[in-house]
Amino acid sequence: MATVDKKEYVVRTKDLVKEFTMGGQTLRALKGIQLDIYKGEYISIMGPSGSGKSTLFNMVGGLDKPTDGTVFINDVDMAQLDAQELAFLRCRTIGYIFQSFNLIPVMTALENVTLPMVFAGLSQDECNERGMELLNMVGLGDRYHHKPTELSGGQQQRVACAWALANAPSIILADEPTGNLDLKTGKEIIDLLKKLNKENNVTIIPATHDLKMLDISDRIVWIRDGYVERIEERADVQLQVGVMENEEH
Amino acid sequence: MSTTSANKTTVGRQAQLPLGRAFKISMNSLRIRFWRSMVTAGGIFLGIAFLATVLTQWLMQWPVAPKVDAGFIRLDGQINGPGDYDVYKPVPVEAGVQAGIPEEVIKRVQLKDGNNFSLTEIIQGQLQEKRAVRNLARVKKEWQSLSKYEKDLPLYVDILGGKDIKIGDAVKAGVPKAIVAKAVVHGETIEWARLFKELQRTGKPDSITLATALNKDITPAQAISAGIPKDLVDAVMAVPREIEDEEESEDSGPPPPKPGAFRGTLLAKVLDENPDFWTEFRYVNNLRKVLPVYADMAAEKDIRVEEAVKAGLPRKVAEKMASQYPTFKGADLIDIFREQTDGIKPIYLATALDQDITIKDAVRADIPIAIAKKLAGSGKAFKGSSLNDLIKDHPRWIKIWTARVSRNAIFDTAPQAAIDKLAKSYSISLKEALDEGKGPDAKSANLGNLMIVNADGRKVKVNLNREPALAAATPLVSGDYVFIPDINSFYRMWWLVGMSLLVCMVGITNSMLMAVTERFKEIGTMKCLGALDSFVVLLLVLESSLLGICASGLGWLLGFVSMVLLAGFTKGWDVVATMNPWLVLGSLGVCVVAGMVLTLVATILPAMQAARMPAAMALRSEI
Repeated sequence: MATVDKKEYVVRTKDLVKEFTMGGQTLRALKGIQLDIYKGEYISIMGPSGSGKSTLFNMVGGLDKPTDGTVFINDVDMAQLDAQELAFLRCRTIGYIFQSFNLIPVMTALENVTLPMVFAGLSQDECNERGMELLNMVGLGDRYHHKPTELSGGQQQRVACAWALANAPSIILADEPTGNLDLKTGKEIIDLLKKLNKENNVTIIPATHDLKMLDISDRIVWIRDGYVERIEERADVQLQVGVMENEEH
Repeated sequence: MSTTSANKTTVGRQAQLPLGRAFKISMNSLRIRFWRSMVTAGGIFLGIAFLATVLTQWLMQWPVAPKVDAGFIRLDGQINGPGDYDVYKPVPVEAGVQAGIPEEVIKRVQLKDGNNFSLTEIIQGQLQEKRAVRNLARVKKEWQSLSKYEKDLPLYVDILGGKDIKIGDAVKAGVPKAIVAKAVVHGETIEWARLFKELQRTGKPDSITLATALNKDITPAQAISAGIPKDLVDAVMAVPREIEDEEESEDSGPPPPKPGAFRGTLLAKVLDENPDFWTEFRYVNNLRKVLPVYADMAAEKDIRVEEAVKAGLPRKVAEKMASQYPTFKGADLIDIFREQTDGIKPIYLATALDQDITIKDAVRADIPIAIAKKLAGSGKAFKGSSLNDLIKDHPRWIKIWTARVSRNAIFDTAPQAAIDKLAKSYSISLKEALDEGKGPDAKSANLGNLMIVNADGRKVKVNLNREPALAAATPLVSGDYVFIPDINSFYRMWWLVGMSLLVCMVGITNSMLMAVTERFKEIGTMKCLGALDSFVVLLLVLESSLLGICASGLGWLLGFVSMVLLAGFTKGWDVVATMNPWLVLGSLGVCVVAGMVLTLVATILPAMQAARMPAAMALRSEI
């Protein structure tokens, strides 16, 4: 279990509101989210479909602009950043893992993993060296020259994990990382995330409704209808994962 | 591995990726989705190919000059009554004699007024003579191969036609006696001697044909009163007596004709020897058909009933005279041939059985390949009967070309130096040609863009709008082609170019929109990984301009090559050779630049739209 310094916030949101206009109707996806995330924390965002998990994820990751309220990453107000600074932040401070992997299909595993490093301005040699290091870490060192279509779902997601770690970010945002995987590979990915959290002291923020995540999370944020319903410490959650497995979709 | 970047209060600025790096990434992307990229490039490719065909046409000055006969010029385009005109003014007879043209030659080409003659006709006569000599040599050579079939092949055609055949003929033509014997039946052929007697008795045909059959003397007056053209009578009378006498002494038959008269068979002979004479007279044509039959009678040959009837003998008489001469039916022989083919040449057998003779077989049988190909037409084989028709026709061609050679030989006596001298001083100018052509229509003729194509393919542009005096000062040369373009043709070309570019533009925009849209997700991902908007635009623009260059280069190649082949095969390769290689390179440049600019214009908007889109939205898009 990572030692958590409670004083140090890595992500803070304040009265976060997001509205979508669809077919002339305004839909409030987020209705004022207040959330403080500590450095090195493993904090799962839980909630049913349509509760606003992914929207929150996009706001925190700087992939979308909130309608109202602010997001602070390392005490920097995201709304104040221009495009170049935002790109810098995405490149070095945040790593992303997606439900559908989103690896670039025309590139090999190594090329995919090194792409963020290329954007960060590393030389080709540095990129390759660090890329191989990361692929070895996720256990795919021997498959570096394979294209995403030649890898299984779990392997693709592991490449995505290595990808997210490329520029040693302080936060990894994972949007339903196990959603497209079977139980076993999903468990592997969860274990991998936990390992990264422990060994590299990276803040992991998965948005999920996979109950397996609960077991290893430091805290769980329950979201319902755009509100934070409750925040639980792991110790408060009494769950038998084995029992719940049958409820997987 | 350790995390850094905690506790940052200010954020750095993402640097633009070096161009080399971006180039490498886009090359890689193009390489990997090669075939997909090729499909995208297809729109550019076809549009630019269209543009290239228009440009190439323009470079070749399409429509191109056709070949113009020597001695003539051709006016073409927006001019009243375009066509061929003499390139030389009428030459006075004295000037011709002075220059050294023989008087007999001048007499042959004298104009109606009697004071002038046509230089063009002398040049044409010389050309015709050369052509006749060449053709005579060719047909004679062909005849060497063909003539050995002349004797026998008709018999096999008769067999095919189911006609009656004499035993003796069949055996002579190489059908084994044993086979012939099987087919013998009684047939009908008139014995010449009986026909002869019958003719003498009835006197049914007109006097001339009867005289031919009996080989009697005919006086010119008799012939003319019987309706034979005077030309023909003159020609018959002009046949030297000695030859006639000689032939008759060989026959050692009837006494020579009286002075001032000719033998009836001579009429048929003269007609036969001058196949290109008097063909326009129907009467002569009829004589041509009828007289040989009677000439055959005179030569004591056997005549078929049908031929005799066709030649004017009453059918009743002919049939009555059909003798008991032993003949057999060709149709019977065909059945026998199907089973028994020993000793018969394959080409004969094929003729008799109406089988196809391939060009290869024909060449093996010593038939000239040109003839075999002509008979086969567009196919690979022909029938023996068509070969027979050609063999019958061939001696006529030898006679035609011999007659042409002798008739045009006189033009060779005109010295080339004299012709050249006269050609120089009596050639007409552009103005005179335009006047003769009744002048171009000022409303539609583009006189500022007039073009003269020389016989050697060189092009001269004349701007008569700017320098009207140039028309009188520009001499035309034999074989020149004067093209007066339509004013609208200029605009039409630019309209075509504009349309092709528009087609290109629509095609490219569509392809590029598709190519960018289907990569929204990838673009969103790249933005998550820290790509700047400008980098996304750069990447797409780089990719598409690479694509644009390659596709338009290839498109140009397609358009250019197809146009060159089309022009080469339909208008001649010399037309293709008139293109300026630098301008060809220029057209490549124009096409590539146009393709690149169009691609860039079509790419930049969707690329910018994609780059500006929030990453979250790009990621959500599903294609």
